[in-house]
Amino acid sequence: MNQQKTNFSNEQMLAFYRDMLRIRRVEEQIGKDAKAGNIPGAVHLYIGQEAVGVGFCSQLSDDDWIASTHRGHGHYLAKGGDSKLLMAEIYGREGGMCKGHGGSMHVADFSKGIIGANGIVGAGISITTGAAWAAQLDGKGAVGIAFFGDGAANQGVLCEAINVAQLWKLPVIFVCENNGFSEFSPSSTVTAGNIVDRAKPYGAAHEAVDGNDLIAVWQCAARAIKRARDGEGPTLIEARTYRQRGHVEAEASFLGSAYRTDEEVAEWIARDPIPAFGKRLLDAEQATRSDLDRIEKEIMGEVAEAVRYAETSPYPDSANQTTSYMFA
Amino acid sequence: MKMALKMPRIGMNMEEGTVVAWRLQPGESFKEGDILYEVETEKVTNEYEAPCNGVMLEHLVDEGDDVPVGDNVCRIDKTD
Amino acid sequence: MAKKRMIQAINETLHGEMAKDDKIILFGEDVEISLFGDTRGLKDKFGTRVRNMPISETVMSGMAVGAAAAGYKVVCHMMFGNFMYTGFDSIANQASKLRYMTAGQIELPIVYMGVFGGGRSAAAQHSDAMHPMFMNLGGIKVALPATPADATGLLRAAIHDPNPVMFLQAAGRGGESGEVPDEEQIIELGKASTVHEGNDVTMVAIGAMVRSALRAARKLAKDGIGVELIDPRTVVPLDSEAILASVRRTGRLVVVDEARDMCSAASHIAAVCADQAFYALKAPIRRVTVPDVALPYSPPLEKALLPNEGRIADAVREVLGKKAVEEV
Repeated sequence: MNQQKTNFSNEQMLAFYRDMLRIRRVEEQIGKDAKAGNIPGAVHLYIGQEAVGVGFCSQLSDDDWIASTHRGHGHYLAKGGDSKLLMAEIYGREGGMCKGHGGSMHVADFSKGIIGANGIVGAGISITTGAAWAAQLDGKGAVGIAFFGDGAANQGVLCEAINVAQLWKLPVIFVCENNGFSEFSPSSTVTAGNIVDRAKPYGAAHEAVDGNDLIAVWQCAARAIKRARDGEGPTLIEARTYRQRGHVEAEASFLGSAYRTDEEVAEWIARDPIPAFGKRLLDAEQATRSDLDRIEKEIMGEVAEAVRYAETSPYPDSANQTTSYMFA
Repeated sequence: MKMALKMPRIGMNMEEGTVVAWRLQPGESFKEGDILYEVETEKVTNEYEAPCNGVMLEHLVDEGDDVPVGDNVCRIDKTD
Repeated sequence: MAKKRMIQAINETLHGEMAKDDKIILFGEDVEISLFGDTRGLKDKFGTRVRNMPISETVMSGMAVGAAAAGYKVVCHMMFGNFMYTGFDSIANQASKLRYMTAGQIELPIVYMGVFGGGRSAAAQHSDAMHPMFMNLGGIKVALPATPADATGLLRAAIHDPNPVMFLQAAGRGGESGEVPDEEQIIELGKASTVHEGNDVTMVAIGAMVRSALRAARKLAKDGIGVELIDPRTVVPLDSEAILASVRRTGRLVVVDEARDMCSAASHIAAVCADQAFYALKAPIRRVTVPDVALPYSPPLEKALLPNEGRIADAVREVLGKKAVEEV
């Protein structure tokens, strides 16, 4: 990790730390709840990848669009989503932002530019490209960011999207979070070449970045966002990171064998973006231990509040609400 | 050689065309490439060019008739 | 009233609506030059609101979702209906579900346009009648105009509908002309029209089949057989009430549909009537559809498979207990 002192104010650095830790603690709670049987459906956790979501979303406003993946809680929270609504949605309750109709894989808040998580691998790529076309027509400088994984990079739609985005100079950024796994298959077994190179034949801007280094991600994101806002077209970014948890929680209970070693996981946990960032803050004297402890405490309070909200929120009214939202 | 000329498929999705005007009356002779009639499809009016030299014998449809692709439009006597 | 061809009516409606509402945008393969003539002249008039797409149906159908989510009324021209299969993910998984999954957070005003059906030696991959597939998605309205007047009224309604709408125009019928009212007409999606009146048999015909059904009805009228011909105009929503009311009066039903028989619109309509008008039925319901095969190229083969006047008239005689007469 880059140890040089940055230009960010102490407040900004602490905000980065808080944003990452908030995602982490909320998701750890979701993981516990999944284990405890409090969550009706499958959950896919973002743990280990937080620096990517925060590095990008901390530079966006509600007018900018993001689309996410089935591993979408982190992007939702990073773009300003409410943890109470998130938790209630994952619990399948009326108090969720989708009133329990979507669940973990469909958390969205269009009022905040969060097109949402998506259960179809790669689907957010085309949707964001369309939102970016809308932003281009609006001419107000908004951008669209499609987060997707290395698995989704193997969907043909990525090539289609880079082609049209480059041709039309759309304000869109394709952010591949290469977390090493395409569901249960190591990337090396399903992916040829370097994903970032897939922009080259289209003449589109592209950049690879250490996805566990928040400052590096932020700087890379800033370049791409500027390019997009300036009308210079799309950028493909490959952020190398690691999925510390399984593809889906509780996967060990149904998988026949392991697809990675404990050593590999331990190696990446040692490179966890959040403790590294905390250490950097302390080393550079941009924060004190008590600052970090205070943030930890605030976040744990938020998590407890989110759980309380979710637990006390009623289930949706199955007698009257099952067909309510199909058509406007 | 006496033969009939059929309604061609001009548009990709054309099922029928409307013969909007005859350019050649029965008894008149024509050369390959001469315009025999105008046909209107969903998009535009096209001119039907004679595929050979010959003499117009008979109009099998009236102006304004909708003619399915492949149906006979007129009879001619092909000459060389 | 003025006599207009189907394609001309659609083209004029697009021009008219786009001139009135600058949030309407249109894109698709070759829309600038316009293969069918329906989008002719739009590029010159509306500039960047009209765009040619690369041949990339997967990204295209999803871009429509993104642009609609970002505030535009999107007309996405997919050219041949069969190409919608290539772009099906965003239609089936995104456009038709996003509103429901997010508990009504957004409206998705999208018109997916395309031509459908056989009769032109276009062979199996350009001739499907794919409306039943869309009927089963739940979240997409499906309009199939049979006349130029209905095309204008339905298209206008589709463009301003806050939901995704499939606008499927019978491929071979672009040149068909008919009277179109001078005043702007909006036809409510879900309202059937009675095309021919009669008391003996109810006939429901869909899309391109309406004309053949009407010819059969007129011929049968000369033989003293009264056919009440209903064109549902949209199969989602389906005006079941209009169909049921007629069936309850006549006690007999023939449904004519260009789709393959299995799970066709005809079989759904037959099922609805069997369920809800069973005691009014005096004879078994007859479906006149395409057998469960791909449509062939050679004209005699294709002709033999598509419903025609003769087969339709035979079905009517059959439900009346009269011997079918070979015709046409």
